[in-house]
Amino acid sequence: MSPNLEQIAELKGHIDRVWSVAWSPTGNVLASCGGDKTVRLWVPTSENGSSEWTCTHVLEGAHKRTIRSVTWSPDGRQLATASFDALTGIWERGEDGDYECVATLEGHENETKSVAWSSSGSLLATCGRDKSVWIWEVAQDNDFECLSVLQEHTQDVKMVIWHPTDELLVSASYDDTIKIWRDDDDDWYCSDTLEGHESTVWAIDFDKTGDYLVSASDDKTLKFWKSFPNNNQEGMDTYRVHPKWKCVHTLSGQHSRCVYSVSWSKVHGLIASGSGDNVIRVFEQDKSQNDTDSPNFSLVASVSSAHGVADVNCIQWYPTEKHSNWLATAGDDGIVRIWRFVE
Amino acid sequence: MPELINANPTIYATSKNSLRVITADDENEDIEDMIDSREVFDLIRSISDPEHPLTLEELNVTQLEHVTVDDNNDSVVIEFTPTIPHCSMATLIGLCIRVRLLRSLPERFKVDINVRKGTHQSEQAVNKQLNDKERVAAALENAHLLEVVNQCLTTAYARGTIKRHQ
Repeated sequence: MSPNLEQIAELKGHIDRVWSVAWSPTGNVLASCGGDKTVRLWVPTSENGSSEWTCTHVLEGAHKRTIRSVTWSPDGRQLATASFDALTGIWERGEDGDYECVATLEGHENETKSVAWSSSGSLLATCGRDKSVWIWEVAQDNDFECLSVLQEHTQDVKMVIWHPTDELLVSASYDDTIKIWRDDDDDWYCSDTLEGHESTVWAIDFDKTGDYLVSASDDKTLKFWKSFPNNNQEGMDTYRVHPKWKCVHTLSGQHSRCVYSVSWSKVHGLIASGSGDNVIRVFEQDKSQNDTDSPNFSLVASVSSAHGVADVNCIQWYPTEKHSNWLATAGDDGIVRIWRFVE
Repeated sequence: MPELINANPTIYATSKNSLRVITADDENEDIEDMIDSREVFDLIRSISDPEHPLTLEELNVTQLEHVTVDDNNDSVVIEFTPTIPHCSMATLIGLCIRVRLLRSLPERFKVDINVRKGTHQSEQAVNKQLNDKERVAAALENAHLLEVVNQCLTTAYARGTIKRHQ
């Protein structure tokens, strides 16, 4: 039998479109957020994971508008939310077991679209429609200090993510580009601009090594980018001494509408994408190939109408070995779904 | 009174009646009625212009020929023509069309709304914004903007008399 995706659970509770889902770093809890201005936390009712899931918490009250994205701190203690109300919320579980908003980060002029923690947990990045990317230092006692405001994108910034191990930030924008940001003694600068997509770049994810990046776009393609170090054999110019990113593969013809989300599993390397054509696709890197400068990816599984007639807004692989074949998706139908990839 | 963007627009004669004709098949319960371009045009033709007491049809902003519907593939594509190439209302007009269709078409339809090629100087920018659902969602959370859109849509129900097949 060929590999496929089986739905194992359907999580209902949101009363508006679900924009984003995020597994906690240990995978035990799934957070979801959306147009109803809440975050919901979900856990399976049995250890082995079943079709029965419960919503254990509803985080609300801190945001006045849509919560566009949610993410966990690397230690799993805190959650960060990016909202159309221009604020970023930081949530923590109190002694009474409930989550409360312990800090709100202000500064963006309007809609905040995405928030991400660095791998060490010491830095936070936010971005939004005001075209800027902000870098915050996480101090003691839920104090966040703005280190830098980066304004090189010429349009709405849709998403930020950090490198899996290094203090390297990546942002994706409505200006069709991806930018790589580094710091030099707390002076943050753009070390590379990745051009190639023909429309908005909605999502980005690293592979587990951090040497490859995948991007998803309104141009209906997924692009794979590789970082070529300074003095690379290919003779490509680099900025200062930093690696230069180059598109090494484009997946076209797999989605018929905007690709809103992409997730690259750090456990097994499969790549999953979710789109406005209601389809989920799973891709695998061709194993027979040794040429890492021009990797090839092939489709291994898909689900049409994954959320009925609704767009798939977000997709994320379970982060650890335990249920690494699980995939969570968020839809415009207000439902969160959990899938199992079966080989 | 603020200065109008287009003070003297050309007004086009419109048909008083819907361009749809109810056929015998339409009344046959055993035949599935597909949504066609006439039906979708009827939904948007009577939306009011944001600055004139005229409909989008009267201003020739929307035309039947520029509505493409593929019911089998859940697809609707609308092209509209701003009254002047520098019309700053173009995005708002497109947003009104989008909201009207969001509210009245079955959810399965994916709707693309674009300025007709060559009719607006910021064609690409307007199109990109109208088709970015995140920005549309954010715009519709703006109470003032939503009120303006709703105002333009108060006339949208008017679509003339639908002729019946004899």
